[in-house]
Amino acid sequence: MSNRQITRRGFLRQFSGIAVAAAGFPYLVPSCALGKAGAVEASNRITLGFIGVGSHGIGMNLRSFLPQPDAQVLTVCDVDSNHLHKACDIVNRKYGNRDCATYKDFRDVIARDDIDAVMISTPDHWHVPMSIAAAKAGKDVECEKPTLTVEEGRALCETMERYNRVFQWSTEDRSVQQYHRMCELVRNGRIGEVHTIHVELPSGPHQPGNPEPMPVPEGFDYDMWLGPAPWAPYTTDRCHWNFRWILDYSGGQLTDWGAHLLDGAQWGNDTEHTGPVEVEGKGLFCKEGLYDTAKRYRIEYKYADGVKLIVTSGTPSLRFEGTEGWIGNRGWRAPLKAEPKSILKSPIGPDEVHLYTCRGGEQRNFLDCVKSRKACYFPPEIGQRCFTIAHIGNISMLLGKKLKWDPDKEQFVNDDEANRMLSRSMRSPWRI
Amino acid sequence: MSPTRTISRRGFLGKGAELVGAFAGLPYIVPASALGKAGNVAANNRIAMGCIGTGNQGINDLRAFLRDERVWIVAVCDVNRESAGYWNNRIGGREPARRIVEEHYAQAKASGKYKGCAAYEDFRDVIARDDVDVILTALPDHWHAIPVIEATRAGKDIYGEKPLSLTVAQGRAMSDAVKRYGRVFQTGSQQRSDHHFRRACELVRNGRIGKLHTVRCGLPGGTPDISKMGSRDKPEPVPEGFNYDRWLGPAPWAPYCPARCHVNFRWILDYSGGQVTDWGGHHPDIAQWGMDTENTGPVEIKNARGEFAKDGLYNTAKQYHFECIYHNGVKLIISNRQRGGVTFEGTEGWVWANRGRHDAHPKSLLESAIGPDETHLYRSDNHFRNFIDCVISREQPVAPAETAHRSITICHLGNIAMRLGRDLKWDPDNERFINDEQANRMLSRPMRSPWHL
Repeated sequence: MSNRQITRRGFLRQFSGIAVAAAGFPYLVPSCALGKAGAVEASNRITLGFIGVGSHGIGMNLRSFLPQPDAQVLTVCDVDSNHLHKACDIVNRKYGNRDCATYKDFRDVIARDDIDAVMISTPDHWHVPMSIAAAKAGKDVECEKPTLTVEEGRALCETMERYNRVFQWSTEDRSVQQYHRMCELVRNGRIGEVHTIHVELPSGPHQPGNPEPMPVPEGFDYDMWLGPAPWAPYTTDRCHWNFRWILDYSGGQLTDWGAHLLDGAQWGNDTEHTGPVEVEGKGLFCKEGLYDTAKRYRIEYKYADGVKLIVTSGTPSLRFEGTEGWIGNRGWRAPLKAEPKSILKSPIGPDEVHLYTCRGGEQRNFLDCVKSRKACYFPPEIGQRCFTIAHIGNISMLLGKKLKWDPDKEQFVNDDEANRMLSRSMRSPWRI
Repeated sequence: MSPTRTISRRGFLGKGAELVGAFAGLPYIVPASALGKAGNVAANNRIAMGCIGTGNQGINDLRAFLRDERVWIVAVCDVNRESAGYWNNRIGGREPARRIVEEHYAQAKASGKYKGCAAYEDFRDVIARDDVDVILTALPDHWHAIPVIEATRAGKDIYGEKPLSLTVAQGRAMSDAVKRYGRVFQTGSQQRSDHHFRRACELVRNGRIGKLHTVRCGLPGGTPDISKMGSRDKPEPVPEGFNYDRWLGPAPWAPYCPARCHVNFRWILDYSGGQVTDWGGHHPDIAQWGMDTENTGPVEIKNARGEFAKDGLYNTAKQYHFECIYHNGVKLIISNRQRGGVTFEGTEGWVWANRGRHDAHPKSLLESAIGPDETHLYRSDNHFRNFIDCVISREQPVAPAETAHRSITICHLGNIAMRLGRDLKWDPDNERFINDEQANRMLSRPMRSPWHL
């Protein structure tokens, strides 16, 4: 070849020549060399900052972003030094260098102008304040689900629209074949008119949690961890993965798992941009100990067109019932069952509703959209509507009464007590 | 394996792999390409295509599909065996097409030989083959409706050349058939896969030029002699190997002459609508995309002026101008005297696009980013691959039948208004002219027996 430039095609041609010439010898060229041919040049990669690298930040999000050829993780950030060093090692090992920067304050990450996008995997009470700050700094954002309140979720939607940011609520449901297929069949009328949707979420917490105050461990910036949440003494059972059992930081299993399966319900029901008009929930809350989210519950919602949504605690499941049959599954990502069975094989035609998905998952979808500037598959508004269902369910359970909801105004009808629970004040100096 | 010694496909492949393992050290036996290695698609996963109509555009399209590794062309079909008289007097017909296909596939064979592309004269033989998954049709316009509708009934997906139809009634029948049989249909309006047009339409749809008021489509005029056969317009004996009766098909009978057939057919109203419909599958289609009126149409056709070719064989409009008024007051001007391409004019600026270029005023619009909350139009950067993508995913391609039907309807309406020489009122919901039965009769044409829709 002239001037010794090796193009991808040229390389492949040469390689197939070698394979023929060396027929009879074992393979010499490792397959990763072919993978390298598809690599994206450094200048075209999307640079990422990771905020929150605990179990989910590393296990799910870092693990999914690192293999993407068009992404480059530049920094990791966490209030816990243990998390920070673990994540930094993983990134450096992957790239074979020592370039990954570490920060304990997320504001240092979003201040860097060489970062295109951030991945936020913190406890829920930090999701919206961090996402909004990142958007204002011109970053695209993928953030773990869910929000903490209805009002802050609305603020997030408005900010993303105003600053023209690409934003993804990080859940895999819309890329999971079973849920996509189930909702597509429902949306195309294969079970007739939907009248009832059953959503089952896991129960828990199963322990009360130890409220005994303890010294804050070395290397853990507890004040930053609390951030906008009310001050409370440190105890191990409060922080990291267990935050989700405390209403100050989360909404319990209802918001944690609701972000998955309630989204499926809204997707199949074609109510992604609105919500139910009535809610009545009964929940069993922990009385003693640290944890105060509902551990067992049954909540009934009604949509304006009469469709009923019934949310109970048990095994993660989703089931749609219609005038001509039902479809559903029992267990996370479990195979679909339906009546009549034939609908499971029914093809979706070109003139029917095809739902937006990305088989590569939420991280792949986010990177694609950062480039195309299109909306991701779980954009701010759809997430807001989904999490709202969980929040109003919690409010109904906490107040112990039936409530009327106006999805257009995002307010309860004639109930100021309930309306006051749609937002929370933040601990100074944090605000949105 | 079962005792009956049947060899299933998977069983065979499994055995094949064992053989390869057992004979490690000997030269390869199974070519990697057949198993789908190194970026190839496994033979049993490829989409089998039959190409109906292999003149100039048919061969262009065929070459494009040969480049798609997911497609395997198994049949070609043309009423002409082989002759010159196509674009610039080039060669066309089923035999040249077969040679192109077989030579292309032979390159990948160790033997350097490949025979496996059937050549038919009758399109029904292609459609009848149950191993054919998709059909490419690239025929004169008067032959667009029948094979497409037949193919939908046989469960084939179709890439059909533009303009979609010869008449409004035929287009409606085609779109309905595609929908009824759940087929994927891509119209050959490849400008929809040109990012310049998509970008222009996205700017318009997102209000970057303010409120849209006028759209101008500048198309070519005249009846240029593309085949270089235009002077041979006196009756001649039909050449050997050309089934002229089948070429005429549903069109009225007329004596054969070389100037009538192949590329220049488009200047005769029996077979086409002239430059207006030939280009109507392109720029007015883009206009509809930008105006967001893809599933409807104008309500009025005004100021239609056409100068039709008179002396000789050709009779389509050489010079033309007509204005289409939409229900929201937007005016679409289609003329051969406008700036070539599509110009969208709004209260705050304009955007113009033509093949491979676009421009805007104010210039800052060129840099304007379309945000995640705005309208993003269907993105396709390769018209042919987009079709195959959709054959696999069962989604709508970028230029589906209904959209193409609505676009070409505008051009049929313009031709009718020019021939009648009067303003017409159109009802896009019922696809009828209002209070004008003479015009309504021109929305369809009878077909020569035995052909019918």
